[in-house]
Formats: sequence, structure tokens, C-alpha cells
Amino acid sequence: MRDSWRLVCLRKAEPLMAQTFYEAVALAVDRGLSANSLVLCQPSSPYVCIGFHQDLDKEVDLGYCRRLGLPIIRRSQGGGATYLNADQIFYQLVAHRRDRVIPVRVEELFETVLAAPVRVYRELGLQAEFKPLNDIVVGGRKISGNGAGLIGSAVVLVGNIILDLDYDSMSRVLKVPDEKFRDKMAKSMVDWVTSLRKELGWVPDAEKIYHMLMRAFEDVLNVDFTVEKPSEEENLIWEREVRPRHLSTTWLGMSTAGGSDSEGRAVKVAGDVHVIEVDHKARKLVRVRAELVGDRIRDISVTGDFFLIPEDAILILQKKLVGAVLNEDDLDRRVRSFFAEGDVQMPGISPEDLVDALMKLRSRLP
Amino acid sequence: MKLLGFDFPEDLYFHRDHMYVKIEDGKVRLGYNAWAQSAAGKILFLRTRAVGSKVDQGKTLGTLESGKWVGPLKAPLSGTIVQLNEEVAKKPSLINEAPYGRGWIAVLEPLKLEEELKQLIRGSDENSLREWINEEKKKYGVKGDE
Repeated sequence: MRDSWRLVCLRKAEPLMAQTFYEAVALAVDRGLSANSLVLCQPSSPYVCIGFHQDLDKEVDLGYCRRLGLPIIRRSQGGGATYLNADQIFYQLVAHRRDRVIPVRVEELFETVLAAPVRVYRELGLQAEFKPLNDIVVGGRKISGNGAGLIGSAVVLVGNIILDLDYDSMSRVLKVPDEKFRDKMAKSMVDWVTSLRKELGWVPDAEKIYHMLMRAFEDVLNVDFTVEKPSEEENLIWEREVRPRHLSTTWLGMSTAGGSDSEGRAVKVAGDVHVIEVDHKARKLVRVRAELVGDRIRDISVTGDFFLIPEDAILILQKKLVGAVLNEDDLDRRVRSFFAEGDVQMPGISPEDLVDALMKLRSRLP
Repeated sequence: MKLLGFDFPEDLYFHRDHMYVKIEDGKVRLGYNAWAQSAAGKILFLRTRAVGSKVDQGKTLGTLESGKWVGPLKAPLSGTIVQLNEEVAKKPSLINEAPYGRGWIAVLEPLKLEEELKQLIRGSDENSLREWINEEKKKYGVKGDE
């Protein structure tokens, strides 16, 4: 005998509803007013969505969003700022935390639930895999973003099937130190985040994907769905509690002490891929911008107000640093070999200064 | 004592929503227990109510984010927040590294200490602690030695 869950398919909904209606469902589940549910929807127009603990003005180019009239919504889940539009189909699972299908460990929760979207991607012909902690990848590239949390006694897990991506807008809405950082970030996004259009060359019909998701979640969770509309209670909770909270400036503008106060700028592109820029002030300024995969440097640029003789030796330094792991031993070895082999002069900058600058990248990793 | 491989020090009190209480000269120091921090994974962000805020037992004192998981921290006692751990605010993963040490979260001036402590589980009460953890295991299907 399989448990009965609700399937609430909102289809295209205005951004605030697409992004937050599941919170009303979670509150209804918490209050014993609704059964466990899966909500499926697509935002009808573009918006910017920031993570629960992010600082709005540190993450988002507010002027750009204002000029374009892009709404900004702070989600109740974690993660980073992102640009979303109708090219994403959201799945939003809401279940009582003591339900038998909900593991307590976050790692197991993601692995259990994300088996459903993995199956959908595979049925569409892609070699999709679950990548801990919370990604789905195809050929090493992220094709689904996911988050989870607890609202009262309801566990929620939300994520998306990515039909298509607007890389320009994704990189444009984020606040960056300069355009070079943005270029690096945009290129990294193209390299590490993918979509059904990019992988298949075409975009499947949204209705087909809704149906595939429903079947996949039924099998993975071993439940039967009953298709229902949002209940009257859920609509009321959304209108009276969820919507007003999200529209308040207190909610959108709230800040978090801690991590985000660090110097420099770090953007998580996908999984363990980050683009990070840090400044290090020795007797001269050293600015390091790097693309990191885990704690290994994939690409790097070193600039600043220092003199380097010969000038083009910076390319040799950058080449030497590609592949380096962010630990002092590896960096020190590479930096010293750069100074030793190239007959290089860098007045005001010692090898230790360069290593210190590079180690600052590590301090920005989560 | 150790349960499921995690420490539950005898001099602490444990709330069923996983914050612990350490009594210090009439005030109480609060944190997140070792089992709960491990289940959450590496903690990346912490947001708490401000110093001076009044909290009620069982109500939300703050939120944690770990690997895209966002969950509430439930106050184990009612009272007023008199101090927050600035070190943890800067580096929330201290909660993982030293949940009962440098990873403490807040100090509370308790309002109904004697009355509310009765609802917590003493770290020295091995039977109740074991019973609670077994309930957690049963609810969540957690594997372990207890």
C-alpha cells in the first residue's frame, strides 16, 4: 500500500508565487491542514533570487535590476544569487519531517529525492548523475540547482529542471568588482552549467516534463499522487503570511553577520566551482582573480600596481599556478620556481607576499 | 557519555530540538549539540536574533545554513539574549569543529530557568538521553550503535 501525496501543478505562475507558494504549503503541512505535497511550476517572467543568508547589496547589481524592472526575491532556502525565468521548471517537495521517506541527514535527503529529477534527465537521453551534496550533473556540468530546509515541522526540498539558460543575464545581474571579473564568471558559467537545450539541441515540452516528474517522484518516493489545486487554507496562508513577508523591505534587506563580510568577491558557479577575487596589500597591491575547482586553481590572473621585469613574466607565473592546490607548500614551491627560473624582478613583492595573496583565495572558499 | 558516536557531556542539558544549555552563574550558554551539527553538515551561515531580544522556549532563536540546508535554531529556554558569539558569527563552521567549546552560539539571561529546565534532558541522565536518542533514531531511521 503506497502513501497518498498531493500533486499541485501551478504551471506558469508570477515570480513571487512560483518562488514562494511552497512556503504556504509547508506552513499548511506544519499545521496539519495539508498532506505531503509536490508542487510543480514555472515562473512566468524573469526575476533575481537571492539565498536566505545573503546580503542583497553585496550580491546583486541593484541598479541594473531596477533599470530592467527585474523583481528580486529572497528565497527561504540557502545558496547563491541567481537569475531565473520561464526556462526553469521548479519541483518543490514538502513533507512532514517525520514522514518515513524523509531522511534526517541532509546528504541522504538530497540523494533520495534527487533520484527523481535524475531519472527524468536520463529518460530524456542524458547521462545525468547525482553529485553530492545537492547537484545533478551531466558530463560534469551542473544541470539542476537544489536547496532544502525546514519550515516548522515540514521539510522542503526545492530544485529545478533547466530547460535553457540565459548566461548573459545570469552574470549581468550579479554585483562584481569589475567587468573582467564578470567576463571570467560568465565564461565559467558556460563551462560548468548546462541545460536541456545545450545538451539535446532542443527543449522538451513543459507539460511532458511535468508528467515525467510526477511519475519519477511517485516511483522514487513510493507514493501515489492525487492531483489537487491549492487548498483554500494554502491560498489564505500565502496571501496573509507568506506574500506580505516577502514584499517587506525588512525581509529582502536583512543581513547576516559572518561569512559575507570577508574581503574580495566570491561567486559559486556550480558545485565546487568558484570564481574568486581577492586583494593583498604588501608594499604594493596584488590582485588575484581565479577560477577554482575545489581547492585547485583552474585559471588565474594576477594583477596589481607592482612592477614586473620582464613584464610578460606574469604569463609565466599564471601558467605555473594553474593546477596548484591552495596550500602553502604547493604555492610556495611554484612561486619560488617562478622567481628562480625566470631571472624575474618584482620590486616590493616577495615570494611570501605572493603566497599570502594566493592563500587569501582559500579563505573565501566555503 | 557518547551516543551514536557523539559526545553528550554530563554537565549540560539537552533540548529535544537539539540545542544544549550550559548553566553559568545564573546565565546559560547555548549551542547546537554534536549529533545535530553532524547531521546538518558544514555550517556556512548563522543568523540569530539580536542581543537584547527576548525569546520563548521552543521558538526560533535563529537560523543555520549548511550546504543549502536552512533550518531554525529553537531556543531551549525562555529569556533575553545577553551575548552572541562573535567568533561563530564570523566563522559558523566553529559549530562543527567545537560544538561544546568555541562553537557556542549565545548567552541567555533565563526567565524561568528552574521551571523550564525540567523539560530538558540532563547530560548525566543516561537513561533519558538514551531513550531520546533512540526515539530520534526510530523517527529518522538513523543508523548507529545505540
